[in-house]
Amino acid sequence: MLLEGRFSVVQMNTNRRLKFNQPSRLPNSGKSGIENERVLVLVFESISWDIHTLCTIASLSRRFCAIARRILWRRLCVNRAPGMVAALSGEDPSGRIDGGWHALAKLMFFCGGGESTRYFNLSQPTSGHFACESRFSKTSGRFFLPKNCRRDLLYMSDPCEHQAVGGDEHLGVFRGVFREFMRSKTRECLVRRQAALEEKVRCPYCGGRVWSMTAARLVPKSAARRLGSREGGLEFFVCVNGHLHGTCWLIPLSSEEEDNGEDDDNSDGSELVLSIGTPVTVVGEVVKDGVRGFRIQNPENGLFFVSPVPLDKIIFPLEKWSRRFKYVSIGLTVVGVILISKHVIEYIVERRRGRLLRKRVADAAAKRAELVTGGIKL
Amino acid sequence: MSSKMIVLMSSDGQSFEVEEAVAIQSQTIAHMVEDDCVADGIPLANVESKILVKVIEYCKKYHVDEANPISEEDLNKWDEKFMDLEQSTIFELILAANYLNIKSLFDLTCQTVADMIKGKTPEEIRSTFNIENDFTPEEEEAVRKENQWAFE
Repeated sequence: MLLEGRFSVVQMNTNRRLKFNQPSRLPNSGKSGIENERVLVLVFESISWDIHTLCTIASLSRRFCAIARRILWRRLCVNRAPGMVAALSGEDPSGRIDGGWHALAKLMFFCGGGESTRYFNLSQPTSGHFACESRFSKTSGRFFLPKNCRRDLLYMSDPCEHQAVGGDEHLGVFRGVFREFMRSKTRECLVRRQAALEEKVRCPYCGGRVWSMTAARLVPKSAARRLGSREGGLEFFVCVNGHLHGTCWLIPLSSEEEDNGEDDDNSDGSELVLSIGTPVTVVGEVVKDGVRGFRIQNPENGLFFVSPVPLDKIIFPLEKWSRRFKYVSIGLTVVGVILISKHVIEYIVERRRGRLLRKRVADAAAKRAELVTGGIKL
Repeated sequence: MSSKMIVLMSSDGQSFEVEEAVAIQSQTIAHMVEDDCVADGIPLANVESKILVKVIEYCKKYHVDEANPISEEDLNKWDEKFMDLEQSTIFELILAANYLNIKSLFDLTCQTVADMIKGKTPEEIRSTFNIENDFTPEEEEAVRKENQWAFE
């Protein structure tokens, strides 16, 4: 694919660990050597943004290091995961991302391994490794967010299995990244709880300081379920730039569990394996999709799920409950009317009784007066 | 049968007359021909004359028809000789091939440069392109550590 050679000038990201004493940015126009940014982009595009080559080029000189940080790592991330990068970098026209593009590229392609931490005991650390393919999902990310932080956007990887020394459980190593972590609810929670930054642990991607979500008690139960781990068998950290890394014990699957792809627990959303041809109900937002007609997508606010249960059966239990609530509300209305009208009735009865009493008293007085008058006459 | 000629004007003011059938290997020029705006010649503001000469030489060679039959094997051998150029010329050719949208020339030039950098150590690449290592020893160590992860 050929490119138009058009680049906007972006601010150079400073790596927190490495700063050059002399400026390394030279004017781009007129440069005809391999240091020409346009040439580098075109050549890397032709080799499909080979990561090893990019790491080597970034180590050549200060100028190449600066070009890699400013342009090349970003183009690699966009090439490999355009949807995720668009979601993470949002509307920022400068093209910056928290922690830098190099850190994001490393997060996408490097599993950091595991070591013993405060809440996760590992007898022997396992080393990190290059991961040429990883799957990141924002649906998975929701399982790692506390309930009141579910509006944050977090992309999570599938756990990478490592052999651990001793025991039946395998070590799972996972990683993730927040969008705009500085403005997230998760960070707000951490700050509100006055969670302390870890002394000994650092982010393996950007070198930044980290919070332990386990220590801050912000690990939801759904996280362990999503990973296939047991509750209390995981710990993860979030750094100041929104990079997440963690480790867990993966529950070994028995042969029956491996054959049975169904998961009965639908409380937080789970995965089912269905045979081809099964009709499904899809609930979501329908949008026009240009030439092809329509597509169903996850709405910003609202439900989005796919279920093999027919729509009327999904609705029926909801109808039953709404009928019950209707009857209860009618009954409560009647009780309320009775309670209010009771006072009114009592008041009316009281007044009537008073009127009758006064009438009897008046009659009795009149009779007595007659008697007295009759006695005097005699 | 007379073939239609087109005039291409380089950024430094030199003009080159080329057969239309040769020139339209460039998609950029082909679109201009379709839009019929080539009467006064085509100005190529991004291409110098010395590079345009090479581009025209390439396009003439690759204009394969009954008058100019050539096998693929011969073309490959010719490509090798053609790319025996100064590095700066190769980089300019990449930019020119991109601008003029000549896919085969673009692929050839990019592949040549890619072969020089893929699978090579930093020292080998520095020596190939005469790049000065201006890192201090501490900086170099830090950069090496920073980029080591892809090789683990």
